[in-house]
Amino acid sequence: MTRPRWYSQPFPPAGSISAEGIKRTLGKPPIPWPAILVRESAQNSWDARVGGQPVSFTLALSVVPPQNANAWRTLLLEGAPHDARFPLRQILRGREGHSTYVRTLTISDRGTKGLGGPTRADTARGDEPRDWVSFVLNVGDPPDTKHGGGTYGYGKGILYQMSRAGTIVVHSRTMTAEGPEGRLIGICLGESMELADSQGEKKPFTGRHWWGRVESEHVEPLTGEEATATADALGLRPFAEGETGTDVVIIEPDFGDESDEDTAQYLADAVAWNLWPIMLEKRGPERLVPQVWNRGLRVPVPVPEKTRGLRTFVAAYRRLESDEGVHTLMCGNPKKALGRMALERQLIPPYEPPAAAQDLGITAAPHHVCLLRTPELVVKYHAGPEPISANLAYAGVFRAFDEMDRTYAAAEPPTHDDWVFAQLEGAERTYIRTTFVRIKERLAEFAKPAEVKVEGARAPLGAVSNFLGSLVAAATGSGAATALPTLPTAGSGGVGGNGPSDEGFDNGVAGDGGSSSTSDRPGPGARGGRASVRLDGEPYFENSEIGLLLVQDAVVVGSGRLVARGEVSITVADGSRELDPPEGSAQPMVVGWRTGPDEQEGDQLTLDDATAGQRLALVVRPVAETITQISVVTVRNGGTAGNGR
Amino acid sequence: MSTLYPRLPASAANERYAEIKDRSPAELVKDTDSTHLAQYFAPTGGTRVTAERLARLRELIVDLAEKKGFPHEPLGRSVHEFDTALARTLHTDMDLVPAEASVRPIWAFLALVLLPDVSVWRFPRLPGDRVLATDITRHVFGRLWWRAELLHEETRPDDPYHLLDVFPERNFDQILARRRSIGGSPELIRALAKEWPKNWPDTGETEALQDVLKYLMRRGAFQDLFGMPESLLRPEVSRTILEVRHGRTRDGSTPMPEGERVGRHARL
Repeated sequence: MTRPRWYSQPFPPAGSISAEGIKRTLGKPPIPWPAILVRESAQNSWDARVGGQPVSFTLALSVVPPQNANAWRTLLLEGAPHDARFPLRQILRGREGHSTYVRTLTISDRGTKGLGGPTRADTARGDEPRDWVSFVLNVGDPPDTKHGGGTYGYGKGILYQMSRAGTIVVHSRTMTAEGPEGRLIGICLGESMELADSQGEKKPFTGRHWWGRVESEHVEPLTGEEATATADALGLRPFAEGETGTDVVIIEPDFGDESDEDTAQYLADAVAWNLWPIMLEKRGPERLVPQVWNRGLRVPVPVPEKTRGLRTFVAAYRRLESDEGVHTLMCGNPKKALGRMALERQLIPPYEPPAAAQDLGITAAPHHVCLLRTPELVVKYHAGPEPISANLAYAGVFRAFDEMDRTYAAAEPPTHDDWVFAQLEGAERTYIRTTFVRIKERLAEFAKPAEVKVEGARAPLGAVSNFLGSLVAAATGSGAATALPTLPTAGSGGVGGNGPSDEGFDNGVAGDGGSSSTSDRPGPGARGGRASVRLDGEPYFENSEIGLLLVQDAVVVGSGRLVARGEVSITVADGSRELDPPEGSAQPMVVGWRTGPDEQEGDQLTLDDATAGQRLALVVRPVAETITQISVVTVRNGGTAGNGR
Repeated sequence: MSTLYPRLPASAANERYAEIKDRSPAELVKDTDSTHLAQYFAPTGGTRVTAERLARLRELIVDLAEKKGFPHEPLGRSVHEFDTALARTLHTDMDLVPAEASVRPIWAFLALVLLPDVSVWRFPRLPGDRVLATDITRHVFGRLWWRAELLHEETRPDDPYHLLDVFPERNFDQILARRRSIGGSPELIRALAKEWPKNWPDTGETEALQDVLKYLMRRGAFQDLFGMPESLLRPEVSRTILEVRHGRTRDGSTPMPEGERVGRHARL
């Protein structure tokens, strides 16, 4: 058996497209390469899904382990052209005096079909799938996957673009009539070049190269035992029994100046912001389960349902299912139903979306409509009018009807990131143009600030307040005093209204002089050497896996044993605490305390030897659309201080 | 200019209350008056009511009561109907301004001096707070005037009081119980009355109203519910009602999805 080697495609007498030409078909995309990579490769994986089980989609950044480095050099350089335009040689060999570690980005999918079908392009197009031919050999095949996202197949060009070597290794396992078959091949899309043959005569080559079992005019993949053994030698992840899918290894990925850590985070965010409609847990087995790894460490992919900004879109998407507040967008002439649209409003604290979202045009609180068609991959976030307040976000989802899918697909540029009516004609052109007009109309209606018409002062209101005043005067009671030496208190915050000028802070229980002056008021039973807590600054928001948290910093005053309890409540319209919440309503809660590096769960904090100046933080989960009040009580005498709640 | 009514000081009111509380309506018909020795008027702010005017008011109210069996038959099941009619009459015929209507001694005078027979007939065994006006929202007449004040709609000249019978007494009490906050806004109360579903599916209308009010209390903490005109309040109120209604029906059948019901026991 001959060893696998490289084969460089010569220009045939009839001419051919050069590697540069293929790469250029992708154009200059408006979004960065890593985002395109996520979109295109996820689309390929999603189109290849077997069904009945989730598609696992993994992006792993790593380096070739030392024990495999030698195999990479000996196996993957066999028959490689000696030319500066084939940079793999230099990358694998390393330069003199430089380390030779090779970075890789592996894109894996499981729960997918793998690349099946014939392994040479000159067999007739039958009913058989031709995934291998379209992915490995041809460029620009028409789509054959029903409802597939890809309509050109140009998307794979991105894989070569990302590699400094222009080279990828594809390891796939697919189901054939004879059982599962593994296939392994290396592909390089470099630059066209001239090479001298064994007689010293120079000939032009297209710049496309394949590595595998070289036949007379094409390259067959390694299969069976040979594929398994070679993949093992190269350190590629083996397939489990009966598992099908594809691994694409991008050799020496190029992320510009970004570090691998930043890139991994970017990829994780890009996955969430570009693929969320197919990631939703509610889809059951028909969904994509993404993972991102960096050098063996898992980088969590934001959960769409729980990620700020994104979950507003999820809410709008769910609204589409519920039919409530859903509008069907129509084209009037020619008459056609285009798709359905739902909008959702949400108050969110000021925040900066991740870079991956900013690259999609979401640079602040979302005011966008997410465009979807049948594959339910994000086409783009279409910006609407800016909301009246930076905290008032709105998000919409437009989902084209399945019957219209061909039209919308035809309107997409090769990068699938827009609908461009200019590239269509006739009725289809009208449909696309009208879609954006209708979306604009809906948004104008939705985002319009409420108009308050003041009809001039009317007597009853002032008079009613007079009535109220006399009732208040008549009220008697023991006041809101507490037996505990309460240290008042923080301000308030709430997703509803917040900020320094917020009502809750100004007229709430926050009390005199804010939070700083009331620190060491001694309780009745206080003795020297006891510690207490002073709240420090205003509470601020923090994002976490369980949602938005409110954090109040605090400082220990005095030294000794400290028992403090955090309390939260909702402030209601008359400025008092809510005592009797509505049935089934959300309640704010104390999550715990941070004491330097440690965390204590629960509302009570016990420190046996607190030292003056020690920094603490109280972590609270507020309730949306309320004013959440935080206070801290220093418990003096253990049980008698009423901490047995 | 508004009309000023006689005010009965608390001590005189207590004395008078002790005098009448155990007597029957029929007996008390002969023991009514349009003046009291201890009475006084507000020094400014309107014209003092004349004896004729008081007599006419008494006549109107007694007429209403007689249609329902006063003084011999107990009121029975038509309480709501009577109260609604009475609220209308008080609000249209008394010519009170809210400032005057929030003075407790005028209500004490009305209940104890001018109309003790109707008071006893409306509230047999006459609890003190119904006539003494220690709390206007409990007063036999005062609470009705305020209900009409908060629910009447000037923009509907044909029937300004059409919202009066949306809420039965105990439900309107829920609103008045929050008078220091949302209950003090006529706009909000009218919005609530207009959006309130006519046929509440199950029982539990009172509980549902309570929950709606509680949610509005939460919102009122940062949203100016007093300043918004009715056209903007109605969608807000309607949304809250829908949510509560939805929440209540859902609660019975399926448990709430995880994550929404983390409640107090969730931990990091």
